This record gives sequence, C-alpha cells and structure tokens, in this order.
Amino acid sequence: MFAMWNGGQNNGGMRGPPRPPNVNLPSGTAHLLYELDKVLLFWLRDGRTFIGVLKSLDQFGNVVVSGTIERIYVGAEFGDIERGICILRGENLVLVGEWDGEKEQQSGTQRRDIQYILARQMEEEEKKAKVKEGLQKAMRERGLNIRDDPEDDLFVNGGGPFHAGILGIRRELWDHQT
Amino acid sequence: MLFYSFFKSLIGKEIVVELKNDMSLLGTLDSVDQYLNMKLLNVEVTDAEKFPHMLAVRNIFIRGSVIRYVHLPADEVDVELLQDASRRDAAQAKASAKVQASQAKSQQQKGGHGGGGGERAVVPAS
Amino acid sequence: MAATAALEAAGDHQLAEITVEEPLDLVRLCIDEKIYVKMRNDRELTGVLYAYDQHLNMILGGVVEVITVTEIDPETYEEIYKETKREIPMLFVRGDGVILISPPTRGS
Repeated sequence: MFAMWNGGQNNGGMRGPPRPPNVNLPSGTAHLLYELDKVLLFWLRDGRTFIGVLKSLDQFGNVVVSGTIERIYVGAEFGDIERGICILRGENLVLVGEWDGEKEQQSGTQRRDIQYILARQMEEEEKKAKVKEGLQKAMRERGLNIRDDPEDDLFVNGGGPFHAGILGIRRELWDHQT
Repeated sequence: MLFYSFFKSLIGKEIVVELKNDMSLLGTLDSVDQYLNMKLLNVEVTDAEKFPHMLAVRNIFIRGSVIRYVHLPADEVDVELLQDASRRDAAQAKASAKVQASQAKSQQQKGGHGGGGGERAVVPAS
Repeated sequence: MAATAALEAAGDHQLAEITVEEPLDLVRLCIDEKIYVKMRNDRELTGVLYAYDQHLNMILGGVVEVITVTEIDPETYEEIYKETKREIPMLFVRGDGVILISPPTRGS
C-alpha cells in the first residue's frame, strides 16, 4: 500500500525536515515511507525520468519531489533539465528506484550538454517516426491495421520534444516558467 | 488476497518481474502489498542498453498495474496449496456474492413495492 | 463432468456442489488442467492452471508463450510474421492482460 505519510507524527507538509515516519504496517508490506528524504528516480508511463528527493506521498501513490531534475537519455548519454518541485500523480509512475551514485559511476553512461542531448533526442524521434510512418503506410495498403502504439496502452508514447503524448509536457511552457 | 499472500510467501526469493513495456527485472522480492506493488532489491535489468536509466538504481518499487508477468522459482511454489486456496477463495467469493445479491434483492423489493403502488394509483384515474 | 468427479473424490463436498453458473466457475474447473490463454499484445500462453482469482490473475506451470509479431519489410514491403516461443516453468500472469481463457479440448 502507498501508505499515507503520518502527517501528525511528522509536523505535516513541507515545513521542516520530516522525522522518520511512524510505520505500523506489517513487515513485508511494500511502501515508500522509508524512502522519504532519499534521492529517488521516478520513471513515468511516458518514458520520462525524474530524479529528486521524495518529500511526501499519499495513499494514491502521488508524490512530492523536490530538487527535481528531468534526465533525458539518448543511448548511453544523458542530459539534465532542472525542474524544481514537482507533484507526480501516482497512476503515471511505473517504477521508483533508489538512486545509487556508485552504480551510476560504474554504468558507463556519460553526461552531455543538454542542448546536444535535446538535438540528439529530436534526431532519434524523427528517425523513429519515419520508420513507423513507412510501415503504417505499407500496412494500410494491405488493408491491415496496426495499432498506432504497438506497446501496451498503459505506456504512452512521448518524452520527446514533439511527441508529447498524453502526459505531454510542453517544454516551451515549462521552460519559460522556470 | 490469494496472490498477495502467495507473494508474501516468496519474500526473500529471487524473481523476474516482466513489465508491460517489455522490461524484465531480476531481483530479490523485498515486500509486496494488496495491489501487488512490489519492492525488489539488487535489481538487474535484462536488455540494459534499452533502459539506461535503470543502470543507476539498485532497489526499486514497482507499481503493480505495470506488471505483465512474474517468473517464479518453480521449486518454491507449492502447487497443491495454490489449488486448494484457489478453490476455497472461489467458494468464499461466491458465498459473499450471494449474500450481497440477496440483500440487494430484498432492498429492491421494498423499493419496487412503492413504485408499483404509484402506478396503481394512476390506472384508476385514467 | 470429470473435474467435478475429481473434486468429489478429493472429498470436498462443499465445493463439488457448485456447478457452472457464472464464467469464473468454468475457470475453477480448469484447475490442474492445461489451458490456453490469449493475452493482449499478440501473446498466447499454454500451461497448467494452479491458481487464479477474481481478477483473472493466474499462476500457470510449464508455460509455453508464443508472441506473434506482424511486420512489413521496409524494403521489399513483404509481410513478415515472426513467432517467438519461450518456455517458463512457473509464471504469475496479471489478470488485466488476459483476453480469453480456454479449457482443455476434450480428449486431450
């Protein structure tokens, strides 16, 4: 259960550092309470990756993350965009991982300038879109219908600069705001 | 609750969780909840190049709804126990459904009676 | 029915009385039988049913999964059907991906 953060025990909300939560759930129950105030990676349904400190959560799995960065990977290279404080809606989270800096250093991934990464991401998206378009056209000519998204519809396309998907973030809007 | 209990019995064992986006995660089951959300420790991702962001995490929390399969350690699974539990669960679910249905029916009858009375009042008038 | 007889033989009188009156009853009769399951995303499974619940979450043993992918060759524009087969000794299947369950065919 995404057990509720015991607000009464933890002087509530975001004022002051949260104390270790009073967890009275049976052991072996999956929750994120012990991950409060840790750096976590949040992987969203549309493929976006956010990294930040977990500040709060509720029974729906909604989370508040502070000091957030959005990390964009293209192959083994990545770039970061600062996103500040975010509330992520629980149903859009696929996976939450404990950030492990040591493991990252061993992983062989490499930080690049964000402008470079965004340009590379755009190239990749265009390439993918072109292949998909060709296939769709050929399929249509045969009277076959391929689903727009061969992946499960739980996972939506997007994460790219153009193909925002249903969780789409208009990069230009958000960027202006920060 | 059957599968919740079942997965609880697998805590500490290695499993492979296959997500609906084709990512497979091998790890030790740490905890599970009623929605079958799961926590895995010491996770390894098969096909890691496709999921570079997973290279920097070791312990993870997975939302139950994104799981497609869980590959189980066959020798840790007591199939007879599972079969009995399934039958028992089905019988229980059925019994409680019957109780609910009869309750709904008795309520409907009360409500239906009132409605019928209303119609009868209309008929003589026309 | 053979499955009902098996239940009675097991001495489970309460359960043996239940007949097939709703869809899930048929699933119950498939316990310990080899079933066919069609899943979303062009996946098909066969395996022995060990457990299920009202969401159609299931545990299957001795599973063979076949994934069929239809593609068009980008150069020759020919249709390609690719089949991938996997064997999994013991598998938990989440019910939300299930489209169809079919009991074993008679005689098999």
